[in-house]
Amino acid sequence: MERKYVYRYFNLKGRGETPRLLFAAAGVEYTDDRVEFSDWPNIKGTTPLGVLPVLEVDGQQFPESVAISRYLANEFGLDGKSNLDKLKIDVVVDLLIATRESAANMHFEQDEAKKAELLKKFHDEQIPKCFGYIEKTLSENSSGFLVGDQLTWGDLALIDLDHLLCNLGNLINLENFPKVAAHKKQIEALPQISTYLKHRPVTSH
Amino acid sequence: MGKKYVYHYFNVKGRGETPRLLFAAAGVEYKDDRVEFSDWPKVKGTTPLGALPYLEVDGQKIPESVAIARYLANEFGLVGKSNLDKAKIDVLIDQMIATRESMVAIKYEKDEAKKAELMKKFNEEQIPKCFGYIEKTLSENSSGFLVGNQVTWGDLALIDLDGMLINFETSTNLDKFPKVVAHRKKVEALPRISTYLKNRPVTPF
Repeated sequence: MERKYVYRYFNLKGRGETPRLLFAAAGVEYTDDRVEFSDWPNIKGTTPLGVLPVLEVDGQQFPESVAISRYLANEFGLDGKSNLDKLKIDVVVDLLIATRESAANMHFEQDEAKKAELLKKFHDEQIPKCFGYIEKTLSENSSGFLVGDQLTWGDLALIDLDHLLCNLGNLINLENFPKVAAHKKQIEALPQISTYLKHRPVTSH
Repeated sequence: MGKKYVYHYFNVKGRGETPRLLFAAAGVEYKDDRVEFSDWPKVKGTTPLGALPYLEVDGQKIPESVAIARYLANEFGLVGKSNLDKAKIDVLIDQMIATRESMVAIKYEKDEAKKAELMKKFNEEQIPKCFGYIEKTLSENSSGFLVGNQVTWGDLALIDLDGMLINFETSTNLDKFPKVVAHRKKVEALPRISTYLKNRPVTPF
């Protein structure tokens, strides 16, 4: 009998979209439980760490969006073909996480001077470091995917961050990273992903 | 013939100790290349991301200490028995990473008032959140390990973090988490770990 998955997150992409992309890519059914902010106070106490997202599977609840993504990738065979492949994906994911954290810090910084300083550092250091490495990784792989010759969760995490950075107002110019731009088009054009992107709720971030 | 591993990091525990604990726990030979700070300017350009640690394996250089640790855990079978086990470990690792990042932020905060505020938040929020979750996880597993009935890389990452907290300026007291304290004794007493801990270089952090 099929495993029952319930994925609980706010009605946003935010930090919780990569697992949804994984379910879509794998064509696996799940309950996409989008929690309204007004309901959150009632639900918070029921979660393992007082935060979302949470994955319910086999009667257990798991927090931590990246751990959830990696688990689903393992379950759905979207995690590369060898331990070395998995490692290469993890390296890219770690860089994406660091970039996301920087973007979040900047977004929430109230002090204007500090915010400007963070933005400069983001553009001058974080983006070249992260996307430079990814551009190099892509140019070493003729398939156009990050690793191997098939889609992996690394590819989904990357387009997820591409979307965030483009939505937050020009946090990245993909023209500086042509292979990353081509990668985004390639992944978004995959049938299951394309369909999902067309129908997912439109949210501000 | 065994795989040749070279692990490059500074001569500290810092962010790079968990992979060394993994080699020790698995009894796997490797070259423990400890880079002197004075040599760093020459070495920096030879690294994939201008940072340490990185692992050399199969003629490739792989950065990111957590990705490296997960890879070695997979290679050495110190990773739990199922994808759900792996996910449980990853959730715990993510919590430990968050705690470690908070510690780094405190260490480098120059503004005294801000630093005091971060330390307060660390002890009142981050530690209860992270170690409360770990304590609960341990109390649900009779083996005394984090997951399953054998040592996994989660256990090694935890004793690594415990060690870092003991000497840290936040004067964090882990005695409130008796299962965590018992866990540390148990894992440090495992033969290969015990030998490694006795013989590893003594470093300030």
